[in-house]
Amino acid sequence: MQDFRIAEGGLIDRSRPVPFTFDGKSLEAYEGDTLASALLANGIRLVGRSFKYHRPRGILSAGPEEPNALVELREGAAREPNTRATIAEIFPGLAARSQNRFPSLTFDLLAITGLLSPIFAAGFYYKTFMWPAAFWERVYEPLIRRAAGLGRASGLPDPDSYEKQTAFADILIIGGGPAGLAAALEAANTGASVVLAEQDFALGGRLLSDRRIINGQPASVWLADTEAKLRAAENLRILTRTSITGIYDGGTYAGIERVSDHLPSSHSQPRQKLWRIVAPRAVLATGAIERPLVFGGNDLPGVMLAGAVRTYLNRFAVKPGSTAVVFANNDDGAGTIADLTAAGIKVAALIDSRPETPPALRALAAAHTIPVFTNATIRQANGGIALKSVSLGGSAAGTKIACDLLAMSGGWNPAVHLASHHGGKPVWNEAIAAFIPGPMPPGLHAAGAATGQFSLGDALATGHAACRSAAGLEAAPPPNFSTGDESAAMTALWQIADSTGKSFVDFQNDVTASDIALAAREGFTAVEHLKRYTTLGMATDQGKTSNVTGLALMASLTNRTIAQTGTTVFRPPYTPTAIGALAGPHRGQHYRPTRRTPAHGWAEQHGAIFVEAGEWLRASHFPQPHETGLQQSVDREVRAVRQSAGFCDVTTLGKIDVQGPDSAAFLDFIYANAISTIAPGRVRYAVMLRDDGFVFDDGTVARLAKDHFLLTTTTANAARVLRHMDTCHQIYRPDLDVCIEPVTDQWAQFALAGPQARLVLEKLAGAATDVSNAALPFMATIEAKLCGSIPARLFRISFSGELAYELAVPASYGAALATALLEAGAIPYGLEALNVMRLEKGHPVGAELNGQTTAADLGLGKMLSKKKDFIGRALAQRPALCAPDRQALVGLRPRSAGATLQAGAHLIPAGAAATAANDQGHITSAAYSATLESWIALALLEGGTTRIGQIFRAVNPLQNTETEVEIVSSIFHDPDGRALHV
Amino acid sequence: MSEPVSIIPVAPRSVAGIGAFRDRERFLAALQSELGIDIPTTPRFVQAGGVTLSCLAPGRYLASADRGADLPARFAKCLAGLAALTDQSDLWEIFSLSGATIRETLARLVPIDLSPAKFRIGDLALTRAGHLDVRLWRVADQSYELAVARSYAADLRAALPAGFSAHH
Repeated sequence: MQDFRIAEGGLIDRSRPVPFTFDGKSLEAYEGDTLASALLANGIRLVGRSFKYHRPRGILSAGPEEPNALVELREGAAREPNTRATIAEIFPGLAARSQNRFPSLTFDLLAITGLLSPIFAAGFYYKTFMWPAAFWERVYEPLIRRAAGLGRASGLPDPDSYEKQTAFADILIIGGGPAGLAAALEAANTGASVVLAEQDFALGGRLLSDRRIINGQPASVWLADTEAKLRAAENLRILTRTSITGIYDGGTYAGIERVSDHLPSSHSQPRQKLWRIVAPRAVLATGAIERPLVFGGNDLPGVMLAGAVRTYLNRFAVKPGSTAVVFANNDDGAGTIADLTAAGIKVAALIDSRPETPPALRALAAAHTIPVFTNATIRQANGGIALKSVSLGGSAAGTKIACDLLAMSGGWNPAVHLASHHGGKPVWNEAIAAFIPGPMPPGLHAAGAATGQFSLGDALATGHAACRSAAGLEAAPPPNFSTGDESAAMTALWQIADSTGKSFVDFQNDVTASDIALAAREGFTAVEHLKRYTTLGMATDQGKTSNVTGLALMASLTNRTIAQTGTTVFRPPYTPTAIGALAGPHRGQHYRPTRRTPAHGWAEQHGAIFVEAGEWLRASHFPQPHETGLQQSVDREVRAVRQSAGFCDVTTLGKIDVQGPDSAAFLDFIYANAISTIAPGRVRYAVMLRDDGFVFDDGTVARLAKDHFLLTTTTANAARVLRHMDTCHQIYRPDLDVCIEPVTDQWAQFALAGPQARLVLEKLAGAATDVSNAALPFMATIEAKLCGSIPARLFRISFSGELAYELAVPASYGAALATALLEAGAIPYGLEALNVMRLEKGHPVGAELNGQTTAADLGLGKMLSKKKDFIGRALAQRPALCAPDRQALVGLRPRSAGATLQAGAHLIPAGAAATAANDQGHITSAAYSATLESWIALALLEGGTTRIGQIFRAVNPLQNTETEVEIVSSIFHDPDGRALHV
Repeated sequence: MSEPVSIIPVAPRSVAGIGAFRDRERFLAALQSELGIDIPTTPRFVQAGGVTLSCLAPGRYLASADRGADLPARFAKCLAGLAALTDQSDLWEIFSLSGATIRETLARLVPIDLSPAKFRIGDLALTRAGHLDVRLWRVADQSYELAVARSYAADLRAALPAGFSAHH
């Protein structure tokens, strides 16, 4: 079946055949294959259709830089598009499908776009499809999207799990090729703790692909030996299938490990793992990426990078074709003729673009009777859906050679991307016609081909040296690494002058040399403009095989040097990364932390419906079996509180303990109203401003003793208030001797409210604690014992406006207290009822404390002390914050009974048009009041209480509805507060 | 597959939060005199007479002991006027973590350097487990304690990475 498999050699395991499918066709490969080598072994070279023009595409490379061979893997929710076949490891049952073709790969109707290519040149959507204007969004854009594009996402939630792990090391080695391995060997010697990360599933880099000799033996022997040594070393962690995708601050590196992508099923392992590797020093041994050459038809299936051809021949024992031509501007690429003939493939020609071909190469060609064309080029590759022949140019113009495989090499580009993640631009090296790393992130030392030193000997030596330099050691001679003769001699070739047909620079985004010329003609000559105008380098391969060529072409078109033209910015991630890997376990419900009160389980058992209030889950209401809707439950709970007694879990409000000789002075500084005048055993409502004079938060301050306070914050602001207090203490008032400690989680706290509240409390307090009006008057606090033995603190404060208490017990008693309250006859109520009742009393909450309101706006202006300085005092006096026409708090009632009110509705004076110019305020909170049997609302309105009695239109422009409202006092129920003092 | 690391809630304890006022010297002297041991001033913990005293930050300590010890009352007496005392006996949910692969497994949960030489027995760290603030003590070679504020405990349990076997 595998007609193109070489009988012997390679690193695949012929004793383990692996069945897989491609576009439904059953095929076989061997363990150790990638999907790309497996397809080539089966003679399949047409693998996809290009993005814009739907041109037939094959396999260009053998690595992560692959732009063409993109397939869909897996089914259903796990389906992943745009998977590089050159990276996907073959496993039994792998099902791959080609992309972007209809109805089939061989017969793709949309290839017609290729004929229309003059319309679809770079930037076409800025110049065409403009009329009629409305058609762009509804017709053209959807059509263009459907015609172009690569794979389809599944559209379903990612079913796999992902993990994160942190590793610390003295040295991180990025890349497990010869340079990285030499560095790792030396690191093991120094006793440093090391992480070695290699993106392939095997260590070795180009040692796996090229037939090399180290110390007189095949490199595979050295490789096996080295791997054994490294695996036996202490403190050396080898991560294969792990790409380092970014270099961040503080010597932190991100790596993505493909944990189970290569397995038929993940077996509850995570699919991928995000590594955070913290290493003060690192060695960049990322190697180099081969450059394609630019000529007509260079995108045909059968045209491959020369290094990749050697990889398929030597590592995978696969013949990528039967009759080959080699086209190169350098010795390394040209040397592929030796690998081809060794594998039994006929080499029809070696085309060397350089003025002279070195004698060693000539001799090698002669030995195998391979014709050599020097100072020649290929100006066009010919074929329909596969390469059939090449037409030569230069000194060999007019010659046509039949072949089905073209191994091309334009030289090598060091993989400098990571080195530039801190903004240091790479530097052009004219001698090797390539960019090498410029200023690098701190602690990074580069080695091997990544530095533009392409020989194996250099890789080994510089790997060793980089490690020593990273470890802070003096340079020392490396171990013996004799590698024989090597030459990387190269003469740059950017343009092939007599090229005909589409010459591709960026394969994945279908960007041709003429697109670049078009960009130059139209003035998009800056390299960042070139990128965005032509989309060169913007595909999923991030221009790995196209960026340098593209800017070299632009340089020559604009008479600049490549150094002058420069590169675009390199940003992480270096390789496409699943969002799931970045999220790790923090997805769905675990996207953010969830907090539960001590009585959460009790509330669940009693049928509570929960809502999110910041990080907390709070009971919104407790529906009874016969109730059919939210409103019924809320009305019942409100009536229960106003008529008998109810209890509500208020544990979530921030609680902060403040102690110290200067605690009173400190709190006087933090709060707008006086705190130091609170007597021990008393509680006061208090307001906190921001530095800029706007209201920050409100809550209560209880003075437990002369130098001991316990304050509460709103649920939403608890963390912010704590941070604010720490800032004020440490930065503004370090002179004050005070200690601030958050204790929210220590206490379970319940509000107990209603005319019967004292009766309920007496049942719980029993004989142990006197809770009479005299012993516990309004705004007082005492210690108590509840239910015989539960230590508690009681606060006589009210948010509902009824006779009310708050009961605080240590959290472990929370559920027990709730049980006791229920047994004592109080009705549980939730946030909805809480909100209705505070609305009835005109208490501002977050909707009113919205960061844009001052104390005066909220009717709390008198709380600002005139006797002390406090945060926000000065800026609260700014004229604009004191203007009488500011939007201030008022109440609203609908004019017609039964009409509803909506938070967010805007207030327009009756009779005026509903325009922004007439907009005088908006409704901040609205609810149906069971107590008043009407909808009520709070609003911020220009002129505030001076408008009481006036009629307004409450307009909702989103739903085109409105209600007529009357401005009233914000205190709807019991304005004298009689119920409080009962 | 290697043995999972066990994570078991410890029995409730008496816990006191201690925040020193300005006179640190007198504070440390009083604490030393009460416990009879040198008081750490870096993130480490010591044990004396059934009390574990952890230094969280300059002047900030956490003391824990068996539930019946009523530490807040005890320290309120000997540190009167020298420190702020808060009862935190119910604030923390504390777990005991142990197992042969404890460090490799913990590395999936916390972002700090767990290598034995860097995080020694007797050290503690204020760090994060995933996105939750936690405190982590190294109690023995392969044994740690982890404390999280009570309201987050269910969240911590629900999102443990692979390698932990939770017991309730």
